[in-house]
Amino acid sequence: MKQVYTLALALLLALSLAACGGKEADAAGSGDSGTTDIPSPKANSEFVFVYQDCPLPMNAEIGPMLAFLGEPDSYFEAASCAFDGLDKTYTYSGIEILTYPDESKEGVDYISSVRLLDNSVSTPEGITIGSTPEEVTAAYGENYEEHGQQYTYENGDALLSILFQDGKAVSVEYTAVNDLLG
Amino acid sequence: MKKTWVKTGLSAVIVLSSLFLLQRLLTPKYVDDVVEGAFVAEYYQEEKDHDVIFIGDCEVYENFSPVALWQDYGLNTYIRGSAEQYIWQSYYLLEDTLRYETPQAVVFNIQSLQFDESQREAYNRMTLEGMEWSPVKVKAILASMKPSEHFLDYVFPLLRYHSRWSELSAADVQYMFSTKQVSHNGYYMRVDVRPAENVPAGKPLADYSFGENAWKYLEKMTALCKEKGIQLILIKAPSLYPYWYPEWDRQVQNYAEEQGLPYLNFLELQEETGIDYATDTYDGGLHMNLSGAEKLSAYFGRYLREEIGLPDRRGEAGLDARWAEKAAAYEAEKLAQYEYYGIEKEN
Repeated sequence: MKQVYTLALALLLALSLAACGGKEADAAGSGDSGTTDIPSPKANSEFVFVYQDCPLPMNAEIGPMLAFLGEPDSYFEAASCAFDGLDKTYTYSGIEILTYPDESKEGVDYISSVRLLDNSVSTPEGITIGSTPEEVTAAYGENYEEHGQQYTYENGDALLSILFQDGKAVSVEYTAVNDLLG
Repeated sequence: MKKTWVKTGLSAVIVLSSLFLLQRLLTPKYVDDVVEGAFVAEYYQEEKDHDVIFIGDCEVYENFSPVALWQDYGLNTYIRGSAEQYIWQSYYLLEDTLRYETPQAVVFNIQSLQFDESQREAYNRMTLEGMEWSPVKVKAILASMKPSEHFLDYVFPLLRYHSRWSELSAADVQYMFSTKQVSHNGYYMRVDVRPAENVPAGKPLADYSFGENAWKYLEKMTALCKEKGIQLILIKAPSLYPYWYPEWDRQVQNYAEEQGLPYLNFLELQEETGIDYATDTYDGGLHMNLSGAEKLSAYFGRYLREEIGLPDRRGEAGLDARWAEKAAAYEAEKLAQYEYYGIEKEN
């Protein structure tokens, strides 16, 4: 009889193992439902780039922002080496937005990075291409990680990285902090 | 007393069998959508007397056609590629290959030098799970695991995949104890066309140096090939994205020169290979389609024959028969894909 109990217990354990595991948490904050009103997505960081009045928080669903911003100047998509879904690049005047797919929700993409391409745009704190390290520390403080000529600030689920060459910023980029992105 | 032992033994067998069946059911089969996960395991079904082994990521398994290399040059080749194969995995796949055969040349695509550590568990699994168990596989797992991963999950995949219940499909049942061929000697065929347009330029990087770990495995690969008398050939496939920085290229060039290794950057050989990014890629410039892969193979096969001096083995009875069978499967898939994508048959 004992063996039967052992057997039942083991199978129960196996089945419970199979049934647990839970779904992975959704990657991002939620956005509006695709109207042309200014979207107000949930942000999990103080670092939020704003483009044409439209906030672009990291890990936020891109759909409502695209509906608001309209057609990009250029669009590129790259199939992940093997995963379902596409990494997408939307280029608007002055910025490049990259997204990553939600593997469990077809057609849903989240912002993985926003990069400033020129000095026609700037961060809400006034930093742009050409800003100096002094201007950057005045805007964001001294609490950054230095990697070569790059300052990286972390806040919530976003990194803000500013790369300098010859004392001027040549790259200003927000990137998502997210386990899904590796 | 004896009866008790029999009962205990029987119960243990039933429990272990149940767990085994559950594991077989829940482990991904990689036969439908994400077939790349099946490539590594397919190698073990092969007759192993290859002249050339390719190792690397999607830039090898989507860009070179072993069937074309055989048909045009009599080269007996195999691609041991897998999705985002990291360089330490390439190294251990080479070690693993050498357990079975010693090719005359090994071709390594250097794209993965940009990574100094594994990026995603899913990619680790697509390379490592298909490897046969051996000390080499153990080393490959240990070199690849991210901090969140556990070695035991590779030994007992049920521990990792127990939550796949909701994703199970008919294929999980159909291929519980068997599999189907999804590649052509490691080559992943696509015949459709999507021209390269609006490919983003690379963003400036804080540091263009490859990491120590990546270098370490390239050096191990070079040393192993030298020790075994294998010609190592470094290549960069002509994929336009992700961006390949000139700063990276210079480091590879310098290394190749120091080590006396050939290095072919196919991004700079567009005229010679005849690659047309309007017609020879199926995904906007990331990977070649069949047309692109056959063009690259035509160029590279000639290089392997004339510059490396590899032999033309057409006429060897066993090989001829084997490749005839492979070519038939290749042609059949070609036709099926032309039909699927609604493309008029070439020629």
